[in-house]
Amino acid sequence: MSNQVVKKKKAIKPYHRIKAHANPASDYHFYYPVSPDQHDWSKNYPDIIKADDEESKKKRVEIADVGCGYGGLTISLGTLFPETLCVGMELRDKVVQYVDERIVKLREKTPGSYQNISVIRTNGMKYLPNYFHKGQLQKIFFLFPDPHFKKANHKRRIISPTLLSEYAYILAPGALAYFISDVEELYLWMYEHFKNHPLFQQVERHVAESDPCVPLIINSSEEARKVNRIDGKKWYAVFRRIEDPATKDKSFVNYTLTSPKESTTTDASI
Amino acid sequence: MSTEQQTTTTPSITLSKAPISFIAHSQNGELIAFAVNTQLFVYNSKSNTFYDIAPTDQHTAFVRSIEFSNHKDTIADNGFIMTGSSDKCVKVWKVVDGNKVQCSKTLPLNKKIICTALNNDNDSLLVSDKCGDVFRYSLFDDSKNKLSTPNQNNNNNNKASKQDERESDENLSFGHYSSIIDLKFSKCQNYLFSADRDEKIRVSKFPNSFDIEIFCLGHKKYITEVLVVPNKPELLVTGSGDGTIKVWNWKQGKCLQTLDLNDKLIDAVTIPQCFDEKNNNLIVSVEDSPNLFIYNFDQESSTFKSTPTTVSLKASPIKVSLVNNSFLVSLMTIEPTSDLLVELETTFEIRQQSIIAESVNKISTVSLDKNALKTLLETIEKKSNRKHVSYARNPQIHKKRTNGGQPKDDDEDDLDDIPSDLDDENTTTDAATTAASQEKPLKLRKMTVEGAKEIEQELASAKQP
Ligand SMILES: C[S@@+](CC[C@H](N)C(=O)[O-])C[C@H]1O[C@@H](n2cnc3c(N)ncnc32)[C@H](O)[C@@H]1O
Repeated sequence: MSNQVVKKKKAIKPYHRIKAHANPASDYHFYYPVSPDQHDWSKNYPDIIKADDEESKKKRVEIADVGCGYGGLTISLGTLFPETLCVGMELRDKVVQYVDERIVKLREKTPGSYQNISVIRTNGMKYLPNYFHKGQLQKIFFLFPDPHFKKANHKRRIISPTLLSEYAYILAPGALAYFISDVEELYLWMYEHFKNHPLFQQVERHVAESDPCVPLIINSSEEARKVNRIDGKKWYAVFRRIEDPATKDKSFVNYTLTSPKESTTTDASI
Repeated sequence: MSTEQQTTTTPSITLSKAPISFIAHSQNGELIAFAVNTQLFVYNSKSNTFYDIAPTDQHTAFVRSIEFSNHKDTIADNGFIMTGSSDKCVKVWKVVDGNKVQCSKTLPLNKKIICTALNNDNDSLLVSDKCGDVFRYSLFDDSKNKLSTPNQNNNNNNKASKQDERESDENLSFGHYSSIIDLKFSKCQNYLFSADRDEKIRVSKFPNSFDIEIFCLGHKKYITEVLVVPNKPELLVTGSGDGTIKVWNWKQGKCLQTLDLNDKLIDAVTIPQCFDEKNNNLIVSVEDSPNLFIYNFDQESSTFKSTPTTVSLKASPIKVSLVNNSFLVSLMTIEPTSDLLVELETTFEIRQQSIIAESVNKISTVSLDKNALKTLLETIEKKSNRKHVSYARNPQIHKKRTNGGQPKDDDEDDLDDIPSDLDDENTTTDAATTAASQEKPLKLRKMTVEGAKEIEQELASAKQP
């Protein structure tokens, strides 16, 4: 490999101050499409979707990584599902910029690859219906969301009973929602809300464990690695979007715990 | 900002008339109810008299909504009237002894009521609060309602305990992440329309309101009003701060027609008022404009004719209601001598000897100081619930970034951003802004390239075999 050139081109995480948290309730002044049909996806997936080719426009995003951070999961998903369009969604502008550049570099480095991944700056709590049609998504991920510990700020949490209705709307029946956290309190909060929502049903543990996405949610994102470095615990669960609430099985009570010991990641210094 | 404009247009008089902010009527048109600031007035159109209402029965803050029960069993005796108010209470009213209207029930909800919708089942009441949450209450079965106790109501300004209440509220039905401006049932009562201060109109199922049917997306600014047209139940008509009226096939979330008033007025804020089924006329008002715009529905093409007829009035209309074959129009006026209500024929001529207008215009003038008046006028226009600008039609900002130009450095700017919906619980915007910025932790995160390096290596090795 020609390290010199690669090194120069490698996207560098910005050294400037970045706020660790963004307030999703603020009115940020960024672009979002009026409706899903108005968004020009050819800018996000130039090799796959062409603005002047109606047929190519039929290809739609099916995987969303909400609050994608530095994009570790989004990129891994793109490799795991090379035929599927996958988008990372992130609120902090500088972080989005970083992921954007990262994807550009990856595409340059391996021509033909990473064409199916992209990143969008948006507020996942407000604008998902602006990007996705009803039932469009097959998978949605919420990895290590901001915990917003303060009671008064709980409404800023990305999982809530009212927001789950919106997520259910953009998910196809049978589609899967994944979430993981290193904060037990937040995990339990998300778990309870998913469990209580009529349109979500927990995926059986053995099914979840053989899902190829599960190792990725445990280890592929930057936040996951950070937790590994400090030997922290992680909790995750997978839920399925169901169509008829009458079929909902309320018997699941266990939740899934992972610790970095099970993982294979090497230790890295901070 | 609109608040400033309001200040300059408000004269510094203390004795003035408060405009009629809401008009509703019973299905047979016999009873007509008006809201003036905190007061409810009920008029009988047969005897041409007002009912007596005890002042102690009245709300203590602005009346936000009036609804008549429309269940078929109650129509004979005119059913009941329901009002929602900024005093955080819902009241149920009934005619008693032939000449009195009495408050038969008060539900203390402990939430700032923004709008309400009453279902035909005659019992389910939906209430949206300032945070965009919608709660469902039973008007008559209190065991289904989690109501607040009066002392909670007054002393609890603590955000954490408010959040506790919110999280444990069993009456929560669904919610938007933005304040909901209008809430209406479909004619069949099985669907619910909710429109918010972003640009969204949501169609939910009812009673399973956790199940979203579709979104009607197309407006570029906040929605002002959602109008259900009874004889065209498949259509929905909406107004917006973007200056257009949109006609939707709501079941499919498809915009069928856009009526644009921007060519007539700058920064028009459109409000679809009512639909005259006999003459197929849609009546639209535009905020701060003394005109009504009439769009005729062409049966043959099933669309509205795109050029409206204009009707000029003395002041800008607040509410237009079609009752007993004439339009009652309440006007935005505060001059003690000017009319609060005019009656128009369905041909839009002003009815000269209107008994109802004369009676209504005689109702007492209220004395309000400048600030109270200003707040009232703003509340009438629901301005406080609106976002001032929307950037949906300004892709410039996005382009700047994707074209590799200097990005807008707004991570830091966000700190003194417009207050969140949540913080709106404190009515004053300033207080909310400071509260929000004090709370925000400004943490620094060390950024390294290790994470990215690691992943790239891993991906490269994963690709080899
Ligand atoms: C703790 S980080 C986790 C990032 C990433 N998922 C990972 O595992 O490395 C949470 C991220 O979510 C973003 N975020 C918070 N609220 C959001 C929202 N409403 N919409 C989109 N992104 C949001 C934050 O900016 C932050 O980058």
